[in-house]
Amino acid sequence: MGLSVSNIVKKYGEYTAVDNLTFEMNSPGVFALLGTNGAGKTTSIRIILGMLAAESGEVRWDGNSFLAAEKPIGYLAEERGLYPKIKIMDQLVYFCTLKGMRRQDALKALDYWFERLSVAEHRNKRAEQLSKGNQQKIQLIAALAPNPELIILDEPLSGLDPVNAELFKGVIREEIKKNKYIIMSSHQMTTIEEFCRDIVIMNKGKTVLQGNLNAIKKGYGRVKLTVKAEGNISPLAAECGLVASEETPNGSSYNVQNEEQAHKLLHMIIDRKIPLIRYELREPTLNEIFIEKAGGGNED
Amino acid sequence: MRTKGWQKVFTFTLIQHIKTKSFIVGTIIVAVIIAAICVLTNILPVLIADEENGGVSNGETENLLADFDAVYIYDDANIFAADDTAQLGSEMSLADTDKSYDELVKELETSESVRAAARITAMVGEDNAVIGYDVRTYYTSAAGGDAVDTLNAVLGEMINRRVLLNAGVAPENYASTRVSISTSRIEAGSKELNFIQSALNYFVPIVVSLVLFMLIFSYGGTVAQSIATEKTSRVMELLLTSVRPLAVVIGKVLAMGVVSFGQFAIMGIVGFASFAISAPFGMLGKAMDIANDPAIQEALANASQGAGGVQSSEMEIAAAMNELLAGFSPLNILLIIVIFLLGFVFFSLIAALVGASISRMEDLQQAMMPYSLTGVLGMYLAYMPVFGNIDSLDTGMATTNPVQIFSYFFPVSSPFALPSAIMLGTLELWQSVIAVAVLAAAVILVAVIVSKVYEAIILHNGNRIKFGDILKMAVRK
Repeated sequence: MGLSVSNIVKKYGEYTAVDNLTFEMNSPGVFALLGTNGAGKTTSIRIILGMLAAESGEVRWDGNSFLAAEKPIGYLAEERGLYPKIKIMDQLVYFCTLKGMRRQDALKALDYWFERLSVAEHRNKRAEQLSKGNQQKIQLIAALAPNPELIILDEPLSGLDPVNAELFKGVIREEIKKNKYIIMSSHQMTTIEEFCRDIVIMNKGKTVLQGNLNAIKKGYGRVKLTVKAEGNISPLAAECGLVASEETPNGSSYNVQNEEQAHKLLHMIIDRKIPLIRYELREPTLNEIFIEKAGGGNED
Repeated sequence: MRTKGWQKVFTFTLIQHIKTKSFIVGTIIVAVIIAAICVLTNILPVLIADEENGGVSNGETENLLADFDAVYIYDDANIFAADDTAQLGSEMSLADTDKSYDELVKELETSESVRAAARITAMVGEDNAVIGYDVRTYYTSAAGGDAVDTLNAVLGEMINRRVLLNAGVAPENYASTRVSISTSRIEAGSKELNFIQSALNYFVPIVVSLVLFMLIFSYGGTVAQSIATEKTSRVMELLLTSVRPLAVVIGKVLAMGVVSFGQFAIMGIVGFASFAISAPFGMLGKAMDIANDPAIQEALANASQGAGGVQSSEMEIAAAMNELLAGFSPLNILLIIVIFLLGFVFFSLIAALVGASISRMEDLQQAMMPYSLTGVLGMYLAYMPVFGNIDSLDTGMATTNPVQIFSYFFPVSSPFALPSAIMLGTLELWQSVIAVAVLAAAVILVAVIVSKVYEAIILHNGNRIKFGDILKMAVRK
């Protein structure tokens, strides 16, 4: 049940924008679609929304093929768009009724969302009179007011100040609690880690990593070591076969083969009575995994 | 399913457009201009005629010649006999002077009184025979041009009279030599029309083609602008999560079609109402009175049944009114509405493709070039053959040239040319039906092209897609 994307292929002439994308969302939650610019995320989203036709593959909801025009999908596009000279209320009612809502229901839903996102005073203004952040709130309202089961958020927090970013995160948490299926695309990996259960990382149209985020991290194991001590530990690290990948005021970072290698370094530091300030052995962050897997992406 | 939801796009586009200040102000201004033109064209000729004939209708003889303080006649041709100038002297203040003509003309330059100096000279041929006369009149700035024209006309008539009397015509027979002669030339096989009908045939197509061009072409441009705005502002991406691109195009084109037709209807209603309200005071009222006169209608009927003969001016007016009213039959009105809508859809669909082909608003003007050229070509094909045929006003007949006939059947020009041709009865019914069918086929062709390529180009971002590429894309599909 839920969303199923199977073997999607999309080509532009000789260029393959999406190459055999497959994933499933069997239960409500947040799914991350990641990749560098030009990796094929937006094309994939457009195919899921039914805006673009794929050369092959299919998109199903609860086992049935569907078009966005037939099923209300909430969509917050990466590149925001509102009618600049039309009143906010008029255009939101229009967007809601296009999704199949009755006018009265739309007005009621919009009242709730205007209050929730603190933009009630802007409802009769034209879009061009609003700040970028407020325009983004209006776009989020357009996506959520029809109460869709499936929501696609493309870079939902980009350009928001910390206060409004927190407001958006609160709304996303509420939607998760309402058992919504959410696909999120973002370059802010901390946000993805905060919300997402499953991920797909794309690079040049191909899927380079896919699965449950926790399982992926566990699969890597605790291979990221950070050490800070009051003395030079580089010779000791070298004895253990380690070369610092990064030197920062917070310490030296190493990629270890296994936990024993890290423990060996720790014992050597203790044996030599070098004062230790920080010792952290952890799984890689999503950001580190992303850079490793999608580092070969290019701009479009 | 590809068009599901077009009604909502239609309603939103329609309401938002008619709420804009530019539409409201534009409509009011156009309505006022139309009303003013209709009232003035109806009333002005009557006012001018009343002013010109005011003295006659009031029983007062307005003698412009009496306005002169002094008129000097230099009869260098020695044409006038003594009693001729004496006769002139009874109508105006003839004056004698010792000054030469040139001296007097010099004096008139600074004179503030109402004076004129006319010099009559004979024009001679090779054998010194007189072949004509020249009347040259200088006048002061205080003298009215009409009075001087009248003076010259009187002098010309006096010269003619004297020439005939000198040739032996008895004075009592002079009046019978002055007859009015009307001439006309009619090309065999063409429709014979009186002057009023010819004038209608000349001016109505020009005005109608220009008005239709403005409405169809400019609102088509609005469709392109609207779609380009939605695409470049990324609103289109949001819309396409709810409706298919074709539904957006259909809703938008039909909404702008209704707006355009509504404005067309407003112009028609305002024009009709203005004419109707001002009718009792203007030309239309007089024409209606003449057309409704049973005696004139009977005379017209007799003439059409072969009685023949030259028509009186009243009969000409009545015939033109009959023809004009026949042009507004329900079938003709229906055909004109269908042509207007087909023409609008034809141009708007092309405009929609143009609007969808760009990714930046600054590219719109350049992208609109093929659309603009097509529209202007259509308008010129409809307009120029009629405009260039000003001869038809003199010849008293409606001539049609091959370009004009072509313009009725060519889809690019027929939306601008056909309505007036139907209204004026230039085309037979079967010809009109074929022309409408050709236009409808062209609309279907453009609609098929749009349905094939629109979805592909609306989400294209980057360089502008050229018109040729769009056509190639359609052919491939």
